[in-house]
Amino acid sequence: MAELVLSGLRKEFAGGVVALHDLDLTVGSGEFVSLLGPSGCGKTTALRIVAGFEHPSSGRVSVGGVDITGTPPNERDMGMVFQAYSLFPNLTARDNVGYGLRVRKQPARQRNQRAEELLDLVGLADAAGRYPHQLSGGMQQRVALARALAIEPKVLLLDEPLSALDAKVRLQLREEIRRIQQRLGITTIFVTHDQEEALSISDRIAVLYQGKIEQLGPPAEIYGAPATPFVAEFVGTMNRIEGVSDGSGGVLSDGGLLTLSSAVSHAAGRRLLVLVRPESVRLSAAQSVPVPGELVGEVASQVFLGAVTRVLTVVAGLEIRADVPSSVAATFPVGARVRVEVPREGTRVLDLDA
Amino acid sequence: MRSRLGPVSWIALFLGISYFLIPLVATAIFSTETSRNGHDLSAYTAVLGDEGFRSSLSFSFKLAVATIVVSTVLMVPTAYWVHLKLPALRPLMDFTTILPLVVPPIVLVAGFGPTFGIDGPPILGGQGSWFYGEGIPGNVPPLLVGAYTVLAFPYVYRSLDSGLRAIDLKTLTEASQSLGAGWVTTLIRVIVPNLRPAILNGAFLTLAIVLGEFTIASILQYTPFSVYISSVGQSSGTQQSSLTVIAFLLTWGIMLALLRFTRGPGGGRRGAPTQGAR
Repeated sequence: MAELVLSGLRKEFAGGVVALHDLDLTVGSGEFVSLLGPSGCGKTTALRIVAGFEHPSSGRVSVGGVDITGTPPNERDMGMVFQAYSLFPNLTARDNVGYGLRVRKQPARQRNQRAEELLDLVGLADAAGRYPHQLSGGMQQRVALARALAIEPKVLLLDEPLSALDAKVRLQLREEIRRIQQRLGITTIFVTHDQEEALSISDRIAVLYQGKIEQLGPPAEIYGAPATPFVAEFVGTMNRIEGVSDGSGGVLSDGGLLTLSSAVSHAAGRRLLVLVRPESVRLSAAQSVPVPGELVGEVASQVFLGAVTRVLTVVAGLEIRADVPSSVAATFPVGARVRVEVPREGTRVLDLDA
Repeated sequence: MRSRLGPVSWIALFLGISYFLIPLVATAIFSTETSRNGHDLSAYTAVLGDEGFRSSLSFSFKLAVATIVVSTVLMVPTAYWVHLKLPALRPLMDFTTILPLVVPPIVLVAGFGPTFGIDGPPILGGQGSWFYGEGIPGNVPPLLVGAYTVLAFPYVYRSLDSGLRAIDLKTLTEASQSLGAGWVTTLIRVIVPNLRPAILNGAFLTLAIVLGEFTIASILQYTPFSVYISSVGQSSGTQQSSLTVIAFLLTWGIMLALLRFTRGPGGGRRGAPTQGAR
C-alpha cells in the first residue's frame, strides 16, 4: 500500500473556470479519506486527476513517492468504482472481475480463481456466472468493487459509488466498503456529496468548496468543530446565530443574550457566528416570570425523525432548532412557550470579522 | 403489451402490406409463366444453370464482404473516437454522412476513378491490374470496394452512431483503462462486443446496398449481380423476374439469419445492455 500525495493541484478548464485551487492533500498509506462537498466543488475533478482521466493545469500527484502526474490512466495501478454502473455488459461478473488480470495476461485458471475469491469477499460468490443485466444495482456496484480490487491497486478510488442505490442498500454497502477497505488496508479516496456517508466511513474528511479544501480532519472534528461557516452549514444541521460580542463571553443576538465560554476570547464589538447543533439545544417549559439572560421562544413546528423529534422554536424572530427525544416531544406542542438553552461550554463560535 | 387496433388502423395496415406484397407476388407469378400460358419453373432452372448467375452472385457477395470489412475497420474506431473525444465534430460527421446520398452516382464515379485508381492507385503506380482485383484476395477490385464503402458510409455510420449512444461509452472506456487496458484492448474487448448489434446492422445494410447497386458498377463495366439481372432482362422477362425473386429471398434469408443471430434464442442478447434490470 502506498501514500498518495496531491501537491498544488490546480485545474482550469477552457473558458477560465477554475475547478481546483492549489489543492494539497496527503492520504496516508491505508487511510480512508473522503472528499466531501456540493456539486461543482471540485471533488470529482480531483479524483479524476488522481485516476489520470484529467490533467492538472499545474501541481503534482505522487503515489509511494513516485510522481505519476504524466502517467496514463492504464499504467497507474488504481482501482476505481464509478458512480454510473460501469460493468462491461458483455462479460459475466467473473469475467468483469477478471478483466484487469486478463489485460495483465494472467492465465485463465489463476484469473478465475482470483475473481471468485473477490466475488466471495463482496458476498457474491453465487453470482459469478451472471451478466450485469441480471444483477441488481447494489450487486453491480459490489462486482465493480471486486473488479477494482482484483488488480491489487495501490490506491482505491470511489467516485460516489453509492449514489444510484436505494437507501437501504446504500447503508449496507457503505459498511461493507469500509470493512473490506480496513481488512485489505488499502489507501482509499471516496468522493461523496452525502455528509452522513462521509462521516460514517472515513478516517478523515476533506470538505471541499469552490475548489479549495475548507477543512480537513477526522469526522468527529468536522462535525463537532467546523472551521468555517460553510462546513458548519454543509455538514449536518446547524443552528446559526449571529450576534455581537460583549467582550466577556456574552453574545448579543436578535433572540437575546447567549453566554458562552468560547466567546470570552473575542473582543467587544466583534461580529460572531454561534454554531450549535440541534441535539445540543435544550428545551424546557418556560417560567411564567422570565429570568434575565434566558432565551424564551414559541414552538413553531415539529418534525418527527424517528428516535428524535426536531422542534423549531422562534425566539424573538430568531429560528432555533432543537432535537428532543420523541417520547417527550408532546411536552412541547406547537404554540407552547419554551425556554431555549444553548450550552455554555463547547459551543462553536466563529469570528465573522476575522 | 397488446394494443387493440381500430378499423382505420386495419385498413392502413392492409394497404401498406398490399403495397409491398402485390408487386412481389406479381413478379413471382410472372416468373413462372410460359409462352403457352402455362406455369412452370423453367426460368429458374435456366438462370440457376447459367454460369453468369453464379459468377455475378459470387462477385457481388465478395464485394459485399470486402466492403463490410473495410467500412467496419474504418468506421468503428472513427465513430468511437468522435463520440468519446470529439463530440463537437458530431454535427460535421452527420453532415458528411449525407454527402454520398446527395451527390449523383455519375459524379461519384468521376471522382472514384482517379481516387481509387482505374489503373491502380496512382501513388502505387498501379497498371490496370487493380481494375480486375488481380493479386487481391478474392479478386475484388479496390475501385468498386472503395466506391461502395463511400456509398455505405451513411448507413454504417448512422448505425454505429445509434449503437454508441446506447452505451455509456465514457464510463466503460474509463473503467477499462483504470483496469490497465490501452485504447486498442478497450476497443476490441469492450467497445466492439457491446456494439455488435450496431455493427451487424451496418453490415446488413451494406450487404443490401452492394447487392442492389447498379449505376456505378454498370458505368465502370463490372458485372455484379444487379448488372447481370439487368442484362438477362434484355433477353428474357421471366428469367429477370425469377432472378428478382431469388435476390429477394436471398436478402430476406440473410436478414432473418442476422436477426436470429443478434436477438434470437441463444443469440447475442445475453451480452447486450438491458434497461430496468436494477
